[in-house]
Amino acid sequence: MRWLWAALGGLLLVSLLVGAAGLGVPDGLILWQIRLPRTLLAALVGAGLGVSGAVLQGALRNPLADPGLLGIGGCAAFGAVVAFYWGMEAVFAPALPIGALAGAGMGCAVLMAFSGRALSGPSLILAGVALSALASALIALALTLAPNPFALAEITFWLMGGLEDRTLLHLALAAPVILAGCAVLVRVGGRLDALSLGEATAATLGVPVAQTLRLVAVGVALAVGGGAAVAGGIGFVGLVVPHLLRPVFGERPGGLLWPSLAGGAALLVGADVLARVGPLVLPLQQEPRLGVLTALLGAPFLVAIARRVGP
Amino acid sequence: MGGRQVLHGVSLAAGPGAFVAICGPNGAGKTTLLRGLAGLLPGGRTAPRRVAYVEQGARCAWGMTVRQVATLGRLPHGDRNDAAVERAMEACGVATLADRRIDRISGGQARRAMLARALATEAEVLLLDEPVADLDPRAAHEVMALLAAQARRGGCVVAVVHQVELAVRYASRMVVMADGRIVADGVPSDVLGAAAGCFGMIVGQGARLLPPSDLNR
Repeated sequence: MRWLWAALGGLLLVSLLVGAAGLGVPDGLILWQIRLPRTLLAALVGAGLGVSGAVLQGALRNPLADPGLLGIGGCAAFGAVVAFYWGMEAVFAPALPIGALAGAGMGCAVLMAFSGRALSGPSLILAGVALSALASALIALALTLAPNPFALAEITFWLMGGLEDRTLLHLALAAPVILAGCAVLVRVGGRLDALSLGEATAATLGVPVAQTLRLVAVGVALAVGGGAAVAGGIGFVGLVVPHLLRPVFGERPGGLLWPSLAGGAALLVGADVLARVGPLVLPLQQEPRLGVLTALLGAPFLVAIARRVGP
Repeated sequence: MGGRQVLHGVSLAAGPGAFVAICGPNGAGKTTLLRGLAGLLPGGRTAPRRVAYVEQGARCAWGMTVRQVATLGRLPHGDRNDAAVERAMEACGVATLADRRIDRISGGQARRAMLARALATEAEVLLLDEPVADLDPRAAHEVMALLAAQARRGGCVVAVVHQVELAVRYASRMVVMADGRIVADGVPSDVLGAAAGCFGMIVGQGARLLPPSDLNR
């Protein structure tokens, strides 16, 4: 565990020392206004995605579960699209993250209402799938009706995910939400262990199954919604990180939460450093989008893991 | 239960020292009765410290170690009483496998690890749905003997068992179910005939159930 925190610390340092202004210690303004918010946001968003993935996979007993499954990211994107739609973002810069946060919040409320009283793993997944489909449809509807002709290009760009030009304001908006989500999620560990024996057995062990799943959904909504509000659509981190860590930390779901939190943060900070280094060393016009990069890095990892998974 | 009434006026009382084997055809309501006893039916309440339940074909979704699985039995107490976990693994014959992954050992060994999880709770009541279903003959005898010993120590064991000859040999009481009703209840050797009857079979030597065609031999 210690080496993981050390790796995260090292990557945070590198992230502060690398950027468009070149390598080395930048001047105070760049460090404080550009690199620091970006670095901390990458770490927070990654931590939220990593721990969300670990908790969801554990709670649903499904190695394919991904934070995107609950549709919260889609709802955040819809909130952002609405902010674009009315051009609010041009008038008031934080309108976009605020809109996305509102979208994620509404998604969470719908999820809770939809899932009802007798909540089980499959009903949570179905509610999430329904919510994802609804969010995608609403995004498509908003885009086709958009009065602003540039909305389509801008929103497509935003949906690919990225952390460039984020400010301390973005950090102030997202950090409390993501941290609250993580705080909820790291506390369900023991219950996840019991859930790995099935929901009935967990209930006989005294685990309140429906309440735990509701807690999981709220925690994931906060951790992922807060992240999506400032970073757009970043996939694969939540899915891949727990798989990367299982061979090292074992498969007990409760034992994977803190490692996945640290691992998610390290992975996204690392990917963001790569995104910034890209234009410096390769003939690129601009940074590759962070969400694209995580998927490009994540897919081969997942293929490698898939080859090792037994029947 | 999809609104369908599975059990009809069934009640089962058993005290300390009892090893009750529930027998009966598939669909008789044995599992539903056990779930009801465990407090898992709608309106029911579980009693985590007093009642341990192992469901039919219990498995672990992740490759946790046998010790990690057995330690889950301590969850109702909120402690990690290692002595109780060790005792449970010892009793179930999986102590030597403690650090092996439960998905990398044989099915019978995994079944016994699940049993160790239930024993680690040190609950008064053990509810087991087909605890010997996929064990080899010797392991089945060992597990049944273990359950009988648990009952002799003052526990109360209720298990769904299909192998009638095992029930006769180890259980102190046999409950025969058919169509959601208890059709016979008593000392196993006494209700063996009723058990055979609800399968449409006859009782052969060694309390084995035989097809009726064997009658003509």
